[in-house]
Amino acid sequence: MRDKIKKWLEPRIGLEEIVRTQFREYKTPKGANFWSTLGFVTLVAILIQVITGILLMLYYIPHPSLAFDSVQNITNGIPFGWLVRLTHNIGSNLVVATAMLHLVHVFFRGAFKRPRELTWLTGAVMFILLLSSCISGQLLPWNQAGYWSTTVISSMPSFLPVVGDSIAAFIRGGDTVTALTLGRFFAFHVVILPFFLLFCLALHIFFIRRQGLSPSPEQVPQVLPMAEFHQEQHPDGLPCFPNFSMKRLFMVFLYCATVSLILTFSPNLFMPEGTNLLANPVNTPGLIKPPWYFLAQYQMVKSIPNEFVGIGFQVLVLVVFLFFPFFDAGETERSIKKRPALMTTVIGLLILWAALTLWGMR
Amino acid sequence: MERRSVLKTTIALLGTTTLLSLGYPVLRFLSPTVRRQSGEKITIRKEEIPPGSARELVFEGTPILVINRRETGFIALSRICTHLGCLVGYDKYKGQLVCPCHAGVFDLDGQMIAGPGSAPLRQFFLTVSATHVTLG
Amino acid sequence: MIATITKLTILAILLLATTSQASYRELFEKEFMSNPWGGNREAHSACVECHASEMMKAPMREPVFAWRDSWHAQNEVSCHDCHGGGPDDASMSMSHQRGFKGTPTLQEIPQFCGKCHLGILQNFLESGHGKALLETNSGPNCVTCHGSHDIKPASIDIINEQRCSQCHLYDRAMLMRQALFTIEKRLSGIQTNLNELRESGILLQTQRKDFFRAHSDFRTLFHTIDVNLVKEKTDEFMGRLDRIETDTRAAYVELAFRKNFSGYLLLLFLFLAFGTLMLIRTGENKK
Repeated sequence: MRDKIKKWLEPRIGLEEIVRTQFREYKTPKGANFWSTLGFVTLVAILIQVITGILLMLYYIPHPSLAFDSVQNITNGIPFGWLVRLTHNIGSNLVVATAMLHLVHVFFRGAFKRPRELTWLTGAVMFILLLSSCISGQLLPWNQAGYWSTTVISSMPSFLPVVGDSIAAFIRGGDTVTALTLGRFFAFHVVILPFFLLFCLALHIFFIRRQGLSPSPEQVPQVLPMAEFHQEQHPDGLPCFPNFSMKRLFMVFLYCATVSLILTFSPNLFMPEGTNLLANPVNTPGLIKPPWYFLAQYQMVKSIPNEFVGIGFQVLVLVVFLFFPFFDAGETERSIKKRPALMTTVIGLLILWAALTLWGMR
Repeated sequence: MERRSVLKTTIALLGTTTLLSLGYPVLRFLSPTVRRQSGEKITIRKEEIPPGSARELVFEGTPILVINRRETGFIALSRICTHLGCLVGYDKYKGQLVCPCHAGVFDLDGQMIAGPGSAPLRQFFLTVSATHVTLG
Repeated sequence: MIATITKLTILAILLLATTSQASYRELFEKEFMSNPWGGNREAHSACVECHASEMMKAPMREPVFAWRDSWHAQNEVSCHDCHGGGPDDASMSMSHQRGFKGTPTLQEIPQFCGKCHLGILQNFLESGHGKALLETNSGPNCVTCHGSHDIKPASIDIINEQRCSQCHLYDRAMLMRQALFTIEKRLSGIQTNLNELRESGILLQTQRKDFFRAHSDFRTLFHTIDVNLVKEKTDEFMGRLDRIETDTRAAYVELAFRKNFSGYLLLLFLFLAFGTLMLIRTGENKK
């Protein structure tokens, strides 16, 4: 049966050649290990979010009078609605973690260096879009936690001197978080951000395939002075299918197992106190905490007395993060082990991030 | 080689089971919920509720009031106050529904006019004929 | 010539569009933004601003601090809800035109609290306590048991020896406490369950309302101070609570099902991962 389908497709799309060139003869670099699969795992994680998101959209109503009840209905009224909602909730946190691991791995592998600056840029933009999706998504259940978290986050741009308040009002659709904000965030979360995410993803994958997978710093220790385009072939590497594909599959199963683990033993792990209370614009809860991936930034802003310095520093870090390959263009050394200054700085920053996050959790 | 083919078969089986275990919930999630009619019907003769008065009864497990409003006719409203759930009572002198717990006041359309909360009282479908009113 | 006319027409259309936009905006804001979720809601109280300030004498500042930690404050019931007056404007805050009433006299207290707590007022006035208050101008009123500004949610511990032996022997109060005990215990058990279930994401809105109603009816009943009536009605209340507990138990069963199903998925994925790993390892060993 399978052979019959293959024979039918062959003269129409040249299936055999596609499988041969794109999967079996497409080689992964030598030393491609399980960490290298993280990009693919992030993609699958995003896909899981999209699927659960579409299912949620069938029953969710984006109006303040009905949003909370519609989410309640999904969680407890619709059969297996709890599975869809909780997977979306747990997945939204794990996809950020996976993306972070992926970008740290890419950084330590020096895979952002010439000629792969654009790959890094599209990836960094996708990361920002992902975080924006998380921010817009948390308002949608219209609960106390999301409402007040959004109030805090949407007032962050006000630190800017002249345009700050206008930007904040633009994001919110007004001076406070209202029904207009909900409508706006719903559109962003469901269509606008996914559209841009898809666009960046297409570019990201195009760059990866066109330039070839980045060789490890052991193989190619120095950035080559290239004047012409050159595609990496990895003749001494292993074929992508089945070797690397199996590794990818394993990591995807591991990701799904992690989601299931949290679903079984701690389904409300990522649901803070105000999750099951209807949003009340007049009643500010005692403690407003952002999700864990923003705790470090929140903690920093809280501890530095000057708001401008606190947020300004973070904007600076963001800009350096986005355009790092360009800042680093002068350096030809690809291996981070041979760059102790950079290694110390980055590991220092990561430790600072972890420390601030843990501090924020208390 | 044999070990590999056993592994492959096991994985294929597990994979299929997983797909089915996820497909079944999605299918049930997507299927429209069938709203089963309880079939309960209550018919009251119009004379039993003179204009300006109301009758308390229980319909589909909910305590309700059937009110014969002077200007606008019959209406069936849930007695469960939308604030915290106490039962509202009919004040025929003021033409209002009052909740004894926190003095929530509703008009005879079920809209809240004073007190805590804001949602209107749930309305039940009422068929009015020449001589009778029917619930359900 | 034609170009100028065209430009003027376009300008006119745009102007019209913007002006009609302006009036649409007003309508939009009035209809759309004035609802509770429209925003622009600020809890502003002129009462609190003055009474909490340093220029007030200490006794006049007391009520605000007592109120801040109270159950009323948590439920957005503030000064003007009981004392009248207009909270949005300092000049009208103690205005008799806005129904302002300062401290009520002893006999006025039941009506003062009964402005909102209608059902309880009824039962209280018909009770021994209510009659004693009206006839002797002394005796228990709402404040005796519940306080005036630092009101906390009622519990069975309000009935204690210190409070209830001010006018008569405690043994009368103890009989009432015993009569209430079983239902009170059950009420607090169900309350705990409902809170637990809410933490787990199951809100049970209808059952919460049924519970509040039962709980409220029971407390209202108590204010008759009629031990026999309470004993009589106990079975009825037990029945009502039985029905609610059936639903809470079903919710716990549902939570257990969810855990089992998720555990089953976990096992599937773990086995799949393990199997794939074995496949990778055997493939590599071959090489």
